[in-house]
Amino acid sequence: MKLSNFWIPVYLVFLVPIFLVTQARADWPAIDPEDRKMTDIAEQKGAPAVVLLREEVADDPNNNHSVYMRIKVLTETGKRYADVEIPYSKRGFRVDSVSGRTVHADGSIVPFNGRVFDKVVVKGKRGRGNEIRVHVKSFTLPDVQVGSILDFRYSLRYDDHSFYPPEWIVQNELFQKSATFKFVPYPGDLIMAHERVGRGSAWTSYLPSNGPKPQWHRLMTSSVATSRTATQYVDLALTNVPPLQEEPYMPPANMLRYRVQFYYTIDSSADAFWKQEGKFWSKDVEKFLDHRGGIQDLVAKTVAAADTPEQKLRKLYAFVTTLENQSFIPKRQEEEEKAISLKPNESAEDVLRQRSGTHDDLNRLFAAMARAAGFPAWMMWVPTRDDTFFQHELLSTHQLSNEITIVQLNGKDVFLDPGTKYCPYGLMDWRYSGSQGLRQKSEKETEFIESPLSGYNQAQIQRLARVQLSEDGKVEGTVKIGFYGLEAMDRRQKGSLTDAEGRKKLLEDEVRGWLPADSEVTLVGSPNWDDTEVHLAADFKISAPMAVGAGKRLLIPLHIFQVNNKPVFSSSERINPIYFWNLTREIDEVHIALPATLEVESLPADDTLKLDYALYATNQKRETPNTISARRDLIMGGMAFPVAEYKNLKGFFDKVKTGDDQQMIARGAAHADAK
Amino acid sequence: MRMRSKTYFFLVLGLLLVSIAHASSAAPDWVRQAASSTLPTYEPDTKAVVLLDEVRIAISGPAEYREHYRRVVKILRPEGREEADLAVYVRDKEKLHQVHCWSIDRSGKEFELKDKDFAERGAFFGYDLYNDLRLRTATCPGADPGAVIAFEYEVQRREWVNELEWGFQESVPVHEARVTVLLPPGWEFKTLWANGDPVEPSRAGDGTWEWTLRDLPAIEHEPMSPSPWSLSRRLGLIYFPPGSGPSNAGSWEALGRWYTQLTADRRTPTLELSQKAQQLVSGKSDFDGKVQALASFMQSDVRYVAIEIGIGGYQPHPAADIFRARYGDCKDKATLLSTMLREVGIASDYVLIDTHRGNVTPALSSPHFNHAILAIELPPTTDASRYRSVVTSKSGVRFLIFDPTDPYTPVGDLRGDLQDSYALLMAGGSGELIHTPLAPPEANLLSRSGHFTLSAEGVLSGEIVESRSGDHAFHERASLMHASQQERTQQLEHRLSRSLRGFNLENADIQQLDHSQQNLQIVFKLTDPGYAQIRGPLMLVRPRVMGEKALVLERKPRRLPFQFEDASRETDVYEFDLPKEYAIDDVPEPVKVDMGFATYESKIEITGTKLRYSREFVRREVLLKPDQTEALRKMQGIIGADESVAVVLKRVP
Repeated sequence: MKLSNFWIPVYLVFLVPIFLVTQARADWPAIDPEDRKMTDIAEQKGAPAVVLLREEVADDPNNNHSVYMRIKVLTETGKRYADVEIPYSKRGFRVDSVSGRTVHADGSIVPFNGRVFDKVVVKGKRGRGNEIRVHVKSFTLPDVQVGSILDFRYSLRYDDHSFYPPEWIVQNELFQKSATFKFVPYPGDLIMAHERVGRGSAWTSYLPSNGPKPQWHRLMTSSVATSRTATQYVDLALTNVPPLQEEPYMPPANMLRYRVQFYYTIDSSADAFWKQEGKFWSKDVEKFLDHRGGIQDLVAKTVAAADTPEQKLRKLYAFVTTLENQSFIPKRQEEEEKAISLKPNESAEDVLRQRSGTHDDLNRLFAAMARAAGFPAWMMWVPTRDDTFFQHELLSTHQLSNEITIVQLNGKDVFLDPGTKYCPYGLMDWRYSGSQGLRQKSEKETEFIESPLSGYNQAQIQRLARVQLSEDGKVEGTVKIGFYGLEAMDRRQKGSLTDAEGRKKLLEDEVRGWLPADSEVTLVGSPNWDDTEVHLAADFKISAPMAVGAGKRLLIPLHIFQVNNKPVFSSSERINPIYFWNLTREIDEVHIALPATLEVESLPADDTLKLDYALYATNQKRETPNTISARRDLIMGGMAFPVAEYKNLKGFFDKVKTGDDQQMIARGAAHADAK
Repeated sequence: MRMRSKTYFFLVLGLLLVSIAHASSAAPDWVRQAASSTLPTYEPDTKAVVLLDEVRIAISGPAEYREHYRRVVKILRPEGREEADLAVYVRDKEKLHQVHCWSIDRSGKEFELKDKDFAERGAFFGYDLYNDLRLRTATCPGADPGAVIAFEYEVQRREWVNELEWGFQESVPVHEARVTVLLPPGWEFKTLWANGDPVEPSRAGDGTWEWTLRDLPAIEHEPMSPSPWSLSRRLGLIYFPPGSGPSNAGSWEALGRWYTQLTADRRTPTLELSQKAQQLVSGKSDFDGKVQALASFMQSDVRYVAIEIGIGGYQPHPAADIFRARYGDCKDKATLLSTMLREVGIASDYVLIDTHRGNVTPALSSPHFNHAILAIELPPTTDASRYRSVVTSKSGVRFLIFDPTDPYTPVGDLRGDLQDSYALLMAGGSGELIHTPLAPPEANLLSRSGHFTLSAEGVLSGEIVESRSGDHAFHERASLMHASQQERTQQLEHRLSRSLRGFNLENADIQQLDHSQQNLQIVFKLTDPGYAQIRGPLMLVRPRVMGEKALVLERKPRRLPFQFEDASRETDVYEFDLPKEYAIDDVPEPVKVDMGFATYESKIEITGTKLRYSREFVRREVLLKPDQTEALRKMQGIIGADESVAVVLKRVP
């Protein structure tokens, strides 16, 4: 048997519904007359369709997963559920036992007698001798009308010596009245990762706390049982499963979706599993780091004895960032690698010799150099939280995807990420920050910790404008922008994918996007694109139509960089938790000189809004009789919020928008009232 | 140069390509020769330049030929790396004889990929359940700025008509494009050109003809521009055996004959089909009632499913099959509707059209359409004035043009992308090029009227009634029909949030959503606590409560025309009851601008404590030349400013 990892290959994840069907075609469950009459569902008014029945069976001893779906079409849009597509890998899998029918609201039945199509998605090499063969089976049910009930089944069969514990993606885009799942695990011994022998299975679930949970059931076995004779199974029966609805600023959908993930077990407990996996990973790390000849020499050349520990570390960090970062350049073809004799790095020495490495290679090299310079240095294995949150109970190392470096400096752990291009010393890619992950405690031991979250000042945009207002309402002048920390890193990474012309366009487009339509923005000079440790500074000349007339008066927005901003939240209701990728800050300062013919009649009042995790402050003042300054500071110091906090968050951002939209009132000098 | 087929646009889409490996060897001479070309100076933002785009066609029989293609591109900027993503399509019963690519990177290293290094992929268009098109794809190594990428393949092709078509311009400049055609002895050809003067061929041997074009400018995408194909220099080549003349191509009439023959047996009714048609029109005696009944059946009961195998890209399924399965693609739907119409005594026939306006051009009769609709013959006594989509053929027959695939556009109208377009009407066993009408602005109406009360604290409360017809209704219906009730509310809140902040949508009543014959109406009831800005004794009130019409135009010089989908009339009327504690102190001037292609006007009227803001935008023309950019920009600036103006109220002492 082969089971080098615990998960169904990626392409099977798309098989939302999958099922064993050995029954005759006529053997469909009876239809509840109420279901035939149904025209809408109270739980999701206006839904295109509703799943009446869903059954998934994963029978690993018999190498078979099967799906049965019964869907009621409620609207025209819901007819699309009659089109069924089943992606699968042709390397070891096949789809069969496809059957289906359409049942009309009047009870008449139209069986599916059509063709099941098989189409290549991709067939070819995937580099280094690997092959890929992904196909899709597709069919469509006949005579589908609003009110029809769609029944269909199919099976996915796989090779005798393969086993695939299922992942039940319980929640999908439709409301489900009844969803049942069954997993019959392979009862024998399995050879798993690191040639370890596993036996038995377990799961981790993300399900409503007050609902049913997966249950074990024993099966009667005869005395002639073989290694494939199932002894037990797990099932789960759910009713009234709500759909997962996507909203802006929510955690990764896959982390919110109700789901159950199965795996074959090796260790008796989660702690034992992680302890053992930690050992394997740490051993791999140590093997990579443990080649210090050249590294020692390089460190000696790079740092000076008189350097402080932090200076030493910064020098080593700076050196690593000078190496080619394979994770941030267009992927090379195998032939190109061969032409420059580039091979996968197997040690820190390799990285140094090739002067090139992936994100993790470079971070490991940095750890090796730090050690060579006398610092205790360890690696931490983290998930990328734009996609995955680490779950301790989920016994799969696949949820950990990248490595960062932890160096002990003056008795404190410093988390560093030179493997992320343009990441300044002291920061890390936000996707690795604020995440639970596995760190090395020693060469053989690991423990779970949470990586630090960068502060709002470490993802900051500062904007300074000095502009002259003309009588026709246009402002012209200069703008200085500073992108700090993660904001600089992000733009530098994007800039690294293009040339000088493209980088100029990137910045000009961004500034133009802040200003009113038809603004002219020209980048002046050359920003410091490659100076990772310093903020990215860029100067512009702008000309923008800003003021609008109100009879004798002119109305002039003061927070000129916010005129195109839309409210962050528009919906009055919220279903999902709120999640911002990282903490942020914006500081704007605008100086507007008025023409001599205009005088200020009224300035917006200063404003301060505070929440426990957020701040918005504006200050407008007359600097000289004809010059106005406006300052704006917006801090978002929170990242994740429960639904209950939505009202406060929305209220805060609505008020921010109201504050941003405040205008100065100016009028002809002879008519202005003193304020 | 690109060969035109309905798969063309897919083929040039960015493809996720598997990593490929192996075998380096010297690039052939033709690659080196192209790489050493002396090039003109290009704009600094030019991503890449096509040094050579060459196709050699060896005709072997009716609609059969061998295509030998060569292409050499120089990458100038990182954005040009996509030129290394290569693909060749192969249809059922076609044979790929060889496919290769070579590259010379900026340091002079050379790479080669052979047949086995190309992956096989299916072509997924998103609208079809299945098609039999296959792609062979690869990413050529070394694709950095300065690199030269060469691509070569040879395919034995089968077409359905004796016509080939090429477009010579691309999103990057083309230095040299060449078409070479080798005809069997005695065979003849005819050429058709679009978007430029004909180019005379040179004779390159017995039966071999060659057309060469040099230094063609790029057609780089610009927002709101026509499809690149409609702007490209194009050549159509029709070939035929000695003495026969073009049979199934070379003119719209010939194409019409071919398509008529291809569909000849498709509209045979069955008893059930006929009975259903009769049942649907039961009680309806006039033309309109019958057409409405059958069209409604087609729009609601026959699902869109495309299955295209072999000639299935052109030929519809039999009406009986479509009726039985209750699904089909555009030509299937047209087939079934036509069959049912005939059963109730109404004649109709196919219309082939392209949803990219301008792709079909009179000068170049081409079989390449991407959509099939229906022309329904209007009885001589029927008043045609109730329908906007009426076309009169050369023979004087009036046809009502209808798209049975479109579930949201009623009989009598056409969706915007089908208006003002050339299309091929099958009539009397032949073909005739017709031009679909551009509906007047009044047919595509978006009107909002609002009544509000403004409090002394600046709180706005009231109701907006939004009414939509034509494309305005089509797009909104399509969006709302695909949403649950909760999603609809979210969509409407999102739309309001573009104009308001901190508002509370108390109710949104959507009316006539399922009745595409009627205007779609949405009634918003809302409150915005912070609508007006209060500044000491002053209060600023923006009279334009909802709706944005100003477009964002790029500042860089415009190269391509602007194309809008439709003519449009849009009005807003908002009435406010003002707080009695305030009096009007300042009112913006009225605005009136007429650019010919469009007009915009707005005004504010005060009557006692009532304020009335009204505005109207009318777009009459849908195609603007590049030299009209400044006029359009000026108009957008005026609209943008007008949308932001405020009335100033002053507290009464």
